[in-house]
Amino acid sequence: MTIFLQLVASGVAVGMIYAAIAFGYQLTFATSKTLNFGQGEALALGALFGLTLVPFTGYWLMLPLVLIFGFALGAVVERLGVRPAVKIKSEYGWIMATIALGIIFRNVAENIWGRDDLKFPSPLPETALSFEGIRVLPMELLIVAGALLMMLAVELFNRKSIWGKAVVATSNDIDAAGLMGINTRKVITLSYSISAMTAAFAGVLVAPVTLTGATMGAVLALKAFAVAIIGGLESGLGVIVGGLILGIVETLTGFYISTGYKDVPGLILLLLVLAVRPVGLFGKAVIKKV
Amino acid sequence: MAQSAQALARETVPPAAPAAAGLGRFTGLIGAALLVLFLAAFPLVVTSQYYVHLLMVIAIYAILILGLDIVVGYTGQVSLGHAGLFGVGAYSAAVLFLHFKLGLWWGILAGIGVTAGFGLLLAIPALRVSGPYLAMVTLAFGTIIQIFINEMTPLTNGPLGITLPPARVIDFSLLGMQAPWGAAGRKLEFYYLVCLCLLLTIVVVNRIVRSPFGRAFEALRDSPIACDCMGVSVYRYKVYAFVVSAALAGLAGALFAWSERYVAPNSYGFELTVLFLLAVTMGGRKSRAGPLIGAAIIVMMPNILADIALVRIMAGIIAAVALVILAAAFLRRQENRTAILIPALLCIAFFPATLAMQSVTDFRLTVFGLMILFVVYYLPEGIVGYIREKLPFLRPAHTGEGTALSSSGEALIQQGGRAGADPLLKVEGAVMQFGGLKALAGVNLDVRPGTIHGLIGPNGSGKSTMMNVLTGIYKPTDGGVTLAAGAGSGKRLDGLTPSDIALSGVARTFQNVQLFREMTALENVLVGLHHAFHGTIFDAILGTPRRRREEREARARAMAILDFVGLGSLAQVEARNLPYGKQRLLEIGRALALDPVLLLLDEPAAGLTAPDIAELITIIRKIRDAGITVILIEHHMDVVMGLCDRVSVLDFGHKIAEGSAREVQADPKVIEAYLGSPVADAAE
Amino acid sequence: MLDVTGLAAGYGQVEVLHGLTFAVPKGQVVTLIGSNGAGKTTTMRALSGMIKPKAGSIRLNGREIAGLDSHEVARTGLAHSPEGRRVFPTLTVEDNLTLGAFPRLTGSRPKGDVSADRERVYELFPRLKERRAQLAGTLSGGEQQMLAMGRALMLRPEILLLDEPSMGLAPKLVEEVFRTIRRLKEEAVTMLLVEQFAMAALGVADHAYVLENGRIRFQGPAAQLRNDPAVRAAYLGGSH
Repeated sequence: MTIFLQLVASGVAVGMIYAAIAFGYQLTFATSKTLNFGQGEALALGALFGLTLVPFTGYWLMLPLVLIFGFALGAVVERLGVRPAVKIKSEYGWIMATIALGIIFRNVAENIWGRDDLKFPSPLPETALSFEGIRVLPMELLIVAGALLMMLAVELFNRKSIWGKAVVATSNDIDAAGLMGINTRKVITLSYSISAMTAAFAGVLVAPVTLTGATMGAVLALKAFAVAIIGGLESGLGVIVGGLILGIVETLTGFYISTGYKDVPGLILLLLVLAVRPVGLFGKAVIKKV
Repeated sequence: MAQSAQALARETVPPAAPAAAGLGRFTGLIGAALLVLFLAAFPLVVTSQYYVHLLMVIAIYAILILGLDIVVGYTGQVSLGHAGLFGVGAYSAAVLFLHFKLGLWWGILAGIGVTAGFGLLLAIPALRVSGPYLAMVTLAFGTIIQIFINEMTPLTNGPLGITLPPARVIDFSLLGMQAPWGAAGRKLEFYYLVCLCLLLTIVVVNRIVRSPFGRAFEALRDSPIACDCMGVSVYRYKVYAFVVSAALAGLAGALFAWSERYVAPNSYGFELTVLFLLAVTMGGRKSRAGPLIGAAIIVMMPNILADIALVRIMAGIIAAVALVILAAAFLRRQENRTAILIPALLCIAFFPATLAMQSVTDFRLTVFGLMILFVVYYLPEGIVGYIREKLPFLRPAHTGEGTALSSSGEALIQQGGRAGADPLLKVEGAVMQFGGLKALAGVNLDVRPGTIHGLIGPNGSGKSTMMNVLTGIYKPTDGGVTLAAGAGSGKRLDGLTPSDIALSGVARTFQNVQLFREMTALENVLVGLHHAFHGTIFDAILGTPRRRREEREARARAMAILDFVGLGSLAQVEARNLPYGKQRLLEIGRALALDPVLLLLDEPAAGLTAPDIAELITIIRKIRDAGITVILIEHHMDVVMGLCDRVSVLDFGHKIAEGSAREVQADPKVIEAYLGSPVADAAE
Repeated sequence: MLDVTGLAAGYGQVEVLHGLTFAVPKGQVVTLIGSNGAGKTTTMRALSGMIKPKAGSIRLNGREIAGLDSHEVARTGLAHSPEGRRVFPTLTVEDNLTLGAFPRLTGSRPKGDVSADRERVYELFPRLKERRAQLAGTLSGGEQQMLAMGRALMLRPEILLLDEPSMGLAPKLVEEVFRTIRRLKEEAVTMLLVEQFAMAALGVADHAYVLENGRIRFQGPAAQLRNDPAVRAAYLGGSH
């Protein structure tokens, strides 16, 4: 039983990372019905950029700089990869363009930081805390708190600020938002910025407990898409539930079957959910109008 | 409208057009002959093993990419799983050798068979989703395959991979003789086998895409809903497309395993899948030449990049061209000058970057990424598409085999013997609820055979909902729909799929035109005639006499239908290039190809000019006179009043009036529904 | 105030409007009426930049606004309450109203007193005040219509475009909507009204244009058209 609870506790941290990335998918999908297939690279670049900064700024001062970096990166992806494709109404176009940008980012990162995985220094002690026999790394607590805080901050921004409300309005009804005088193109860029910012932040959070490298984000981002689908690409905080479920199932698989297979449940889940209920477990069915 | 009609006339009417179409047919043959000659002669001229092997890899990739084009180009779906399928094919062959010592030929069979099975598996989620969802699903599929290959060590030898001996194409020792072409020639056996496979693939893909299967693929890409409503099941044909595509990927995989003589899990990852997509897009969708060009580019590119001097020269040329284009755009104050600023600057910056670098090999993926961006934004139709646009005589002739442009047979199958008092279509208590909204609140409708029955009402009254209920796009919440089929017996339509309803004899058109845009007028009608084809996919691949006869008959019939709706001279024009009024008529023609007993017309006059409307009215009358019952939804009151034998009026999901056009027009309830109540207002 | 000349517009290659010319004088209510598919909503969409006109000119207070994006049009002071209401369902009533004043809150129109204007909308529609914290998606059809109108008023518009404000509403609510329009008219709000229910629209408007198949069939003072049988013919066919 203790082992089981131990596994659950370890699954929570990685689950929150999935939730944070999935949350980023939702943001852009809501405003523009598009998403960044290079989200994993945004995560990896965030982590690597943070790693480079840490010796100069220390851990805590590095965080806001990574946020700014992620914000700018998102805007670049939107302007170069998404906007031109949306203009010519090419779905294939933005899928391929964001993939291409992802590949470019990854390749550039490999050339800057090398192909080998790096160790990200942990800002917190690396001795585990013990709660009734269940060991938890302080860093894992920081991951959970950080990811929750990030999502909460974005939610607050969306609910309280006028630009945040404009984001929600654009997600609700892009034409009506335009009639309100909202420049919806700007709003979409903003949503990409926030989305990449969340991913970059998730990158620095997760880096100390995994290895850091240009390819660290690829599979994470794919599984986070599974989480976004389970949570519903349109519906808010279902991603936290989805992220936790996937994180826990993965650590269980890793322990009881083989660590080599730990990515499989998430991917199978993605196939199953899309084969059975494409709108997600929490999403609403949409009736297509002819 | 007038302008687009002129543009159309420019493109199609000149007498050069038929000759050009003829040339288009010959380019295919000439190209094929040149390809055969090139492949046959290459190893005789270039003796370097390295280049022969390189050409072999290009040919193998081309086989896969030709298959990928079926999914990407024809059905319009994104697949990021083809590297995984390629891996399945390679491992099928390699595992057979590892465990059972079965050689090349078994490997090819297994590669095709097993991978086709995986294609079937992949098609299941692909049925429900498309676009970004499908991209993610196929990506997940590819990733899972890679994980399993890595982890299932007893079967696949895990990360170590499997090494294979040189391939034996023909085992002469079994026949007790020496190879007639000697030891040197034996090295080329496998090369020629690969070439043969490539040529066979080209033939097979060519035949499939020109068969009813290929038309179904294109139809489901351009309008899945209309495809279903033509009796062509979107589900079934998506599965066909994925299975055929996977089988070719498997063939390529098996050949690849034996050509490299080594398989390892990491060779079949994400990057390869993206390269395949780049190849198909850059070469050009929906062509045979495109995948060949694309395959050559992705295989050769790493070799070119390895030569830094060559790269610098190319980068220099690109930078110079970009500079000229940019300068010209700014000097002429072109509108797109800010739009091209960033890409042009990037192109220019690329040159000093190559000068600063010792080697660009490490930036191979960056170069591929930039190529994808370039293709997506500046070359969306690929190299072949671009050439076809610039050189019209290279455009494919859409006629396929033979220019069967003569029509024969009746355009309309007479639906006689049904006239009478018993309704052809009976709707009883139809209810359609969306959340809290009742779009139909228990509507009864009797449509008598051989009549034109009008369905009118203000916006949001439920007309279109009724249309969608009748054709199976919506499943009614309650109530029944019965079609009188034959003597006395009725067929329940509610609960059937759109394609079953279509095959029961109910055809429709759409409010917002739903043509298969990239197909010609003739091909659009041929999709409607899909029910007249009984050949299997093997008939299509083998080009059997039955298949040829069916195609010939269907084409003649389709031409008769096009003549009937007045589009005979526009048969070879792509639907998207037709003027709007003609598009509406083509939709009617396509629906007639189903040989319907009941034809539903959803606002056929919307957006038409007065002469177009007059033509439309004549055609609808002729359809009725052929015994086909018509239900007409229309806002254009003059059309309704002039055509309809009987009119039903809907308002808020209820039927509020029914009768002859005159009666309905004078009904106070109808007037109030349309104009509002003056009484309530005057109370103020 | 609003001068439209030779306006042509449509969707894709389909031209729906074939050259409309009409004007809305300051302080007046003008209505466009006509049957389904006549081009009323298309006109409204072309005016507010939701679709780009193919030809013609649209001048608001002398400034050309044809070809601008819809958010730019809104910043010139044209408020469009669209067909089907289109409120933001996952935002509260209050947030919906605040967004109506978006250009004022982000500096592209004079700010004025936004919260006072909100109170004024609440006073106009007391029902909205009761539901101010509720999500707009949970409102009834009639309440959503009021919200859509209130949201448009939050711009302090030079001209207010109302597209089918009565669509899908029960007769009692239709009356209420028209009472509000009349009240706004008394406050000298310039309005362009598109209505399926011609009789009600003619009851409140000063001037009317009758559309048929994308052209203006005829026009005249609203009071005069009310008893004109040609109006009925424009809807239900027959002799003109």
